[in-house]
Amino acid sequence: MPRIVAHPSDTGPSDTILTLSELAVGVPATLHRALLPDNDVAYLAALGLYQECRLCVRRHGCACIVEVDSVRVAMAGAVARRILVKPVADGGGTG
Amino acid sequence: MSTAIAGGSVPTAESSLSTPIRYALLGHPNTGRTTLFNRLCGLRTRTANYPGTTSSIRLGVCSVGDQRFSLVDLPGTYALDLEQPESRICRGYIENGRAGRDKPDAVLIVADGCNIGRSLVFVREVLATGRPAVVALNKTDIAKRRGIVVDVGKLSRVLGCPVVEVSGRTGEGADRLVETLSSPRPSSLPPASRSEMIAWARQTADTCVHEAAGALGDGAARGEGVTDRLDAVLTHPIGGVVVFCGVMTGLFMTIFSLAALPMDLIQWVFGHVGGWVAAVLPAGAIQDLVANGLIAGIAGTLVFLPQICLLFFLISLLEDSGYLARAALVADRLLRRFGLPGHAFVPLLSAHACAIPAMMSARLIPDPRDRLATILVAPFMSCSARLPVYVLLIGFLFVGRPVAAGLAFAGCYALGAAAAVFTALLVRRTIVRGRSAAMVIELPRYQVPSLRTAAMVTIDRGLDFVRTAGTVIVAICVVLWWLGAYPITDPPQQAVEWRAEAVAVVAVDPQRALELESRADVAESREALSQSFMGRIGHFVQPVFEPLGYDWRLSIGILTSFAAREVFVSTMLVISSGAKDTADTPLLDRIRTMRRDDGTPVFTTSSAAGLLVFYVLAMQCLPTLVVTRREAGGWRWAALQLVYMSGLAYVAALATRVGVQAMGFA
Repeated sequence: MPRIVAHPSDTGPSDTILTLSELAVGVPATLHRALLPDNDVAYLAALGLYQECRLCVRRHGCACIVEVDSVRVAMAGAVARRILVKPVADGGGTG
Repeated sequence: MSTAIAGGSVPTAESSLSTPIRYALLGHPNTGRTTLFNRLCGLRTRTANYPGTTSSIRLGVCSVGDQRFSLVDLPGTYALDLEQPESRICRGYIENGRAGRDKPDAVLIVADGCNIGRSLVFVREVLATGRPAVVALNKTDIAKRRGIVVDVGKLSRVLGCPVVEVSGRTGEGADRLVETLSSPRPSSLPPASRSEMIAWARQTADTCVHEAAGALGDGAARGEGVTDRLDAVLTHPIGGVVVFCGVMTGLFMTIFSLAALPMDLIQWVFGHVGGWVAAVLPAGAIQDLVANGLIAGIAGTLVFLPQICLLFFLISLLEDSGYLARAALVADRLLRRFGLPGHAFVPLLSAHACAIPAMMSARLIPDPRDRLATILVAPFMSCSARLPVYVLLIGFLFVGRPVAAGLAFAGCYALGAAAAVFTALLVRRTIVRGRSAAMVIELPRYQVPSLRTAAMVTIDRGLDFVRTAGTVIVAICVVLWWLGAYPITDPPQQAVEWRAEAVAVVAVDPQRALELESRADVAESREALSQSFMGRIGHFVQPVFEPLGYDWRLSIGILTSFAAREVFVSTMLVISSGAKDTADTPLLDRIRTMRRDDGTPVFTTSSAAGLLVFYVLAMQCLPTLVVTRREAGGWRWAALQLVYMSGLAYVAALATRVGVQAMGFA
């Protein structure tokens, strides 16, 4: 699968767009876009992974484990590679 | 007096004795919805299948004073508008009840008190349906420990319906919730888009929920740290698999060891009841029907109960602890390449004990296609009922060669597992096509599992099995008994002579007389079976099994073991008994040395090897087919399973026989 987006930025971390699978553990980010079928996007949104929600990766391994609103969601790597996120600079929580 | 609602009216206290208020219980998965349902209804519950689906819903009753409430525990869903079975069921039930019946008067929405922001999106979505509602903020015991304080009055005003704090686990607030159920109110919140609902939920949570300063700090951080450390091990690509194998091994060792005693006890009790009935009732058809048909049929059903109950009890503990979601994640990597999801591992592994609870536990699998594929392949895994047949045939094939016998045993298990994964691939690429959703799963918090919830789930599943599958299994056992017992034939001449000889010698040699009576009994049994409808069918179908090297006796063994595989050994014992030259031979040797009508051995190396492969692969279990029909949603799936497995077993047995003969064996 081709790499979707990765923009190293000169202007700061908030302009960088990464796939969720590339986001480092513990780095807070906001969900930018999910490049998935509509049904899957709706399911993710219902789980709490909607556009602009704050999240952070807790672990990469068997699957990508993401924390959003104090809920942990695990997803297969194939899904994590299709979710684009923007790291946030303030390092705040995921709520 | 009634409160006007969309689509109906809420019965009031005055009319409640005849018409309880019917509530639909809705909520996200992992919000403790079922724990709360169990807390409110206790044992006054039953399980029903949702019409047109294989998903089950639970119905329960609770009351306060004379006021009764009927609760319908719907499957957990994250939203009503998703294209998922659980979502469709909840949507359909709110709108139409069960196929137009049992429409809910109101909804009880269970929200996670520890994560109100996310729950409020769902609450808003349900309230927008216009149904009168009560909102239960569950898990408030945990929320309070985390310093989460909710302004319930304010939240109730914003939502436009009653809000009650409750803990399903501790029971705190449960009485208040039941009292509140008598006054649900429809909300005036209008429908909105998901993004609008999300924004509204965040704003509402900000105004109604307060997290005490500092309370979240150490405790929550410690909790996160423990969760991180546990997840690091339990979802590790290698460590996770090791733990997973350990947990599953422990699970099934526990089931095997703990279930053995009650299973033996059930068989012992029913054996004695059958004997007592046979002694009390006058000899004849009624006695035979009750003792060997009904009682044997009930015993044949109840004997599965210990395994079923233990399996569901332990699975419930694992699920409640938060581990099962992690286990599904680990197994997903292994099974996905065969077209099965990680959730399928527990059913497939538990099928080594018995396919029936395994297929029932396939309800854990969210995707209906994955669930169906798992149900179709689960009976390939070698269950405990196959063991007596394996022992018998491997004993014939590898006399005095324990290492080879052990390898053959392992080979049988491996062959069954290989057939299962091969079939899963085939099924997912042909009859159950469609993209499986990649695994996205909420990982619930780790917690000490609730024994009460596990016990309730166990009782519910056990009763459900006895009520539905059990009744059909008993009926089929009675039919098989009838086929094996009728028509009644005259005893064979040899048996008549033995009985006459017994009468003649009883005064001088009582031991000899007993032995002769015993020989006469087995000879009569053998003749009766041979001449029964089942025996005649055995003769009739024997040409089908001729290419596999089976005579009519083995054909009968295969037919009778269709009720249960282990019956094969007892059937062969009956058929092989009675002849003068075999009466003093050890039981298993008696089977091994059986002769065809032309004097050649029934069991040759090639026919025994073929028969072993046949039993590894064949669907020789009627109760399993009954459960397939119920769990997969129709007889056509059971028929497909029977035809496919039997066909594959036949071809594989034939290939084995030919291969063994080509190697120079008889």
